[in-house]
Amino acid sequence: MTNPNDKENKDDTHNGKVGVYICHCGGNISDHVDVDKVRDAAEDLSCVKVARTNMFMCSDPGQNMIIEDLENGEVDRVVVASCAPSLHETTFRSAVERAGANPFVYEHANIREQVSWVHHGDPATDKASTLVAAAAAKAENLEPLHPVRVDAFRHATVIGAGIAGMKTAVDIARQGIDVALVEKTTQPGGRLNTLHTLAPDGEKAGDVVDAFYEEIQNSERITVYPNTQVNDVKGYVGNFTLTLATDGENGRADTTVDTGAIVMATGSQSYTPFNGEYAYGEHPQVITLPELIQTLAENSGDENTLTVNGKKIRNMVMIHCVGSRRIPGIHETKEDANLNEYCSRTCCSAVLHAGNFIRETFPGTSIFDMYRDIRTYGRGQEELYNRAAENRVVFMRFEADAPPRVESSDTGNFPLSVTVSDGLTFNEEMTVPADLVVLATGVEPTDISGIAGMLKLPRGNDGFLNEVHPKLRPVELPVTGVFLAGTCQAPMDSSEACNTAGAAAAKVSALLGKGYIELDPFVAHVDEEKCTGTGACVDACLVDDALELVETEVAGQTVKKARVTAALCQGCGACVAVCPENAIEVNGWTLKQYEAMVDAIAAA
Amino acid sequence: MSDTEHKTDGDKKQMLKQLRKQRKESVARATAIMKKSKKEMKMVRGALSDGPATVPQIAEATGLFSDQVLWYVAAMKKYGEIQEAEKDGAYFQYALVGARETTEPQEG
Amino acid sequence: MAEPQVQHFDTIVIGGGIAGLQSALDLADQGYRVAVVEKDASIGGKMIRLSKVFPTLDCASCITTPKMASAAHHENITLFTYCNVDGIVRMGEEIHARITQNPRYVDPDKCIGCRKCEYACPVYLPDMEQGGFSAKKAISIPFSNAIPQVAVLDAEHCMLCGQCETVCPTDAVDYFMEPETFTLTARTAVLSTGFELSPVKDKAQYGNGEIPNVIDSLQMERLLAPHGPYNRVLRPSDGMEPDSIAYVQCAGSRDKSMGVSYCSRVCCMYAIKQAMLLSGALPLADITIYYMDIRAFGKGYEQFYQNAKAMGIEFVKAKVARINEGDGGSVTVRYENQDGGGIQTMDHDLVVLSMGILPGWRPEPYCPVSTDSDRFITSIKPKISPVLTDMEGVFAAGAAAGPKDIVDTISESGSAAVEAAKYMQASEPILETQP
Ligand SMILES: Cc1cc2nc3c(=O)[nH]c(=O)nc-3n(C[C@H](O)[C@H](O)[C@H](O)COP(=O)(O)OP(=O)(O)OC[C@H]3O[C@@H](n4cnc5c(N)ncnc54)[C@H](O)[C@@H]3O)c2cc1C
Ligand SMILES: Cc1cc2nc3c(=O)[nH]c(=O)nc-3n(C[C@H](O)[C@H](O)[C@H](O)COP(=O)(O)OP(=O)(O)OC[C@H]3O[C@@H](n4cnc5c(N)ncnc54)[C@H](O)[C@@H]3O)c2cc1C
Repeated sequence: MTNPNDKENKDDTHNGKVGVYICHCGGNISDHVDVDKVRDAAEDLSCVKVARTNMFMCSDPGQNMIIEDLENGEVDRVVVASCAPSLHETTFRSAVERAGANPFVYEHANIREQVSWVHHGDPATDKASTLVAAAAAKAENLEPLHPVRVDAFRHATVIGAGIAGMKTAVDIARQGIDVALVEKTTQPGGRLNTLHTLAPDGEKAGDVVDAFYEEIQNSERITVYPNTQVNDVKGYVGNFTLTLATDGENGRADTTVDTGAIVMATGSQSYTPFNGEYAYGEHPQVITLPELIQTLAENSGDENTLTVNGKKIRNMVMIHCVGSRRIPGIHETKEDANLNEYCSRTCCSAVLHAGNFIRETFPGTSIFDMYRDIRTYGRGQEELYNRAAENRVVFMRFEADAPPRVESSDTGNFPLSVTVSDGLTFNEEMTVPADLVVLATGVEPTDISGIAGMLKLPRGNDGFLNEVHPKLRPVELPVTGVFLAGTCQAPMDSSEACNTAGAAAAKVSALLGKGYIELDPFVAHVDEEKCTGTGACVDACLVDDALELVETEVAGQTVKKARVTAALCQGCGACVAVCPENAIEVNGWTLKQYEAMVDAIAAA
Repeated sequence: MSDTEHKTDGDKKQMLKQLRKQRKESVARATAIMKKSKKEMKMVRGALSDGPATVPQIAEATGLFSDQVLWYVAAMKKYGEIQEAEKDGAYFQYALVGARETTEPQEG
Repeated sequence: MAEPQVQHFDTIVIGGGIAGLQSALDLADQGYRVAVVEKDASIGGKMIRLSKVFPTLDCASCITTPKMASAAHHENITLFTYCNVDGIVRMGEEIHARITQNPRYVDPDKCIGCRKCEYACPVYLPDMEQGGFSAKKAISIPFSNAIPQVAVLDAEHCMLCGQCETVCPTDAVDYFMEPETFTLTARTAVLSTGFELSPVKDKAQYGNGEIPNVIDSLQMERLLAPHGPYNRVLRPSDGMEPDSIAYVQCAGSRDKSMGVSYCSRVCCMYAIKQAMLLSGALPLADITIYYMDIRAFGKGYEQFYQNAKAMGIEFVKAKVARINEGDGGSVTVRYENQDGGGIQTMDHDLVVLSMGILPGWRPEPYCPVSTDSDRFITSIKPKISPVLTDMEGVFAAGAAAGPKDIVDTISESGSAAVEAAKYMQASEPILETQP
């Protein structure tokens, strides 16, 4: 690993010629900020050589203004005042690079999220001018930087061998990258191993698993680790070291795997109703959807009527949204204080699919379907709904605050009765006698607190992993080099899980394909001449192993100096604050640059 | 994509004439659209010459349909000729942008 | 700017919406050379024309332009905009695409996007990029964040008056341009031709698009966009700020009479989104959504729906039977209340029809790839890889393979990219041998 920034940082004699470019953002900014005034104010700054405005700086004409000014030599430092840097900083850095300049002589001023969306009128314009002045002052002091380049293992680890993990592994391996596929149970396949046929088209779940099974077992590039969990993670993107713990007949065995990227594919599990929820646990004829599906797989189908637990099912009630779509104030929280406010996405189709199967195989079994909204959104799913109506499944609609009541019954010879106020028939109270009640239980994320904790992965209140941005970076986690696939992110059906798996594989392949990775250069940098080896920075550092004291020879004496592992450094600056000698700085955020910004703000 | 650059001015005039003939129908169609909008936008301008007005007021003054008036107002706003003024009840008023000093592009 | 007759790539992407751009970027980042063919004058698809996008409510252009810009400047991506696809066939190891470059009548290499021509042009036309609510000129830049920023002349509505040519500072206008055809070859193709809204004019009960102040959902996106036609929400008949706005859901989906029996998948969420944006823009307005089932199934979507309810947006479970013109520009909605109220009527100032999603392109007869009974491209392995089509080396992504929101489109596009890469890994690389 090299840090080519070491030398250039010393050159601080240069005075930048700054170009300032202010974006209207099509009105998002200019409706509240007087951009012409901001430009005029910028023009008055001594370091600013040109100041311009554009309707959309991110558009080609906007970017071309920057490129032209750089190419003409009018400016050699660039400030764009526009939206949050997370959106367009890379756009403008690459424009600077296309003009032949170093992409890091660029500074971003956020005058949208931090100004026009929260302030109005003159205060907005004044604040925008101040932020631009600060950015220009910093830009004047910017020096060229170079990305930190680290070698990367052409190897990825996929955690969880459900359908998403299996597809991710196959797709990565086919790009010539080795894969470790880690599964905590004995078998790959995950949830699909417990399903019968799949909505909406009726493929056998086993066939879907088999589509990948042979390849993951036989591919030279894929190593499957069954009965295994990740016990320890060290390192950083391109260079992780995992300790895998495998349970075997002779107890636990540990393996170490060097890997460049990690894909989380730990999937989800079914919600278990609490005792007494719709009489679950109190009455044997109240079961969950997964339990029904299991039964269907076992039923011979010779009879006219479905048999469950040895009982013929004449009337069957299916209740949707059990453990999903809960509403604060209406529903009680679970033991872990969560509510499962989300929709579990796959249950509506799975219910209708099972319902159709039953009506078409066991015409003697009647079905009453109690729902809040039928969510057959996907391709082929609305047909399931229509077919259920043709199969004379009786639909009844209930409101979140008036769920059906399931009670033991003494009427006739039905063991259960379900009472619901049916929205489809003028909210009439209806009581359905039933032999079986099936609860369409939703899904919950697998408990991954161990691995998520080790990798410091963000999860929502509901426990699902949170991606960086649902549209811009939907399969990436904020820890560089860690991705996600499948239902560990949110409920989805197996088609959708496979799509996210493919997307994650595409990202991993692009990341590891070259054998090296370039990281942002904004990392701590030690001035060895000033460093006296106090170790204060090492104590302050928040990341294991990012800073350490090493012994070196200086003038025949062994002394201690701080050393940065650039790939681990987060550039947080905790070390800078504690160094008594000012011997450590963060590239691109030096004290001198900060001072210039503060002076500019004070002067504004 | 074409080689008009290599032609002399005279050649080009000739070619344009040819093209006009070829595209007689679309040229006529475009000209009719241009004439109609020129006339009607003049009426809108006229209705605003005494000060700001709402779309229904402009429609009333010009005899144009109100949806058509709104369309012209939106267009003239886009091209920098009209600006939004005070609100009057549920309607906004529109005003002519001073004397048009500039024909430079302004985005809208 | 004569194009070579035949150009070679690794992958041809048909359709430069968010699906096509994401597939192209994911392939280009792996070193594959990609051609993106787009029929419109700009890339970006529907997404660049939206206001803000659910569920995060980011402004659409803010998150689309980074992708558009990085595709446009990627060293491995070449854009072909304003092009028609005349045919896609497999010939041995290669896919051949016959392409026609439509004439812009403006030289894209010379045009600097200054819009002087647009200002000079005397012919005002409805700007369909703004739902028809505002005007553009017979020569114009498609929209303000279009890529590329090159003016296009509408020859069908050009007077040939010469004004644009006179004012153009770079002599870019060329009235004599002709369509040009060329061929792209590649080892793989991704079809990402997106969707169109089902036309209002086909729906007689809803007035065939002739009732004032009844608009479709994409038009409402423009009214809500920060650089929209009025810069605020006004009703198009007379510029009144609407006080009561209604959404009619499934107006053209789940409706066999329209030939669209499937669910269009995005309309519930975009209607809720628009309703939320409207209540921000018009805090006093009443907003009603007439719906059959609310399908808020994605990550964070149900919470989004519950928030909308808590904000006071009214959800009425009803089937809308008829829409009629009311008094003074109002619109009368006649609906059958499914919650027991029977047939009712209600007047609104503005009614938005959540029209259905139709495929943006019919492959037949241009490309021998199959489509399903829903007319979207058939997936031969819908469970394990929905992007696989029945044409070898050809993959589908985004709304072209069934209605889909942006989140699902983006992951599917990544998946299409990886399938294309897998296909190419399996065959010998031909990259090196090419010019
Ligand atoms: C009742 C029900 C019915 C359904 N019906 C259908 C249907 O009809 N059609 C359809 O398309 N979809 C259906 N689905 C959805 C489908 O099951 C999922 O989309 C699919 O299983 C998701 O796959 P996955 O790989 O994301 O997760 P999972 O299948 O949950 O796989 C995750 C894997 O990761 C492993 N794992 C978890 N944590 C760890 C760890 N820490 N270390 C190692 N391994 C770990 C697990 O053991 C498991 O093998 C249904 C779901 C349910 C609950
Ligand atoms: C009113 C409305 C609001 C919406 N709001 C949201 C929202 O808030 N959040 C969200 O997630 N989703 C939203 N959506 C859905 C979103 O628009 C789609 O998910 C997304 O646009 C799909 O992208 P795509 O690239 O697949 O298709 P498109 O955006 O349709 O792009 C397809 C591209 O292919 C081009 N093309 C078509 N045929 C050809 C051809 N033959 N040759 C060359 N090019 C061709 C088209 O010109 C177009 O550029 C909304 C949809 C609507 C209708």
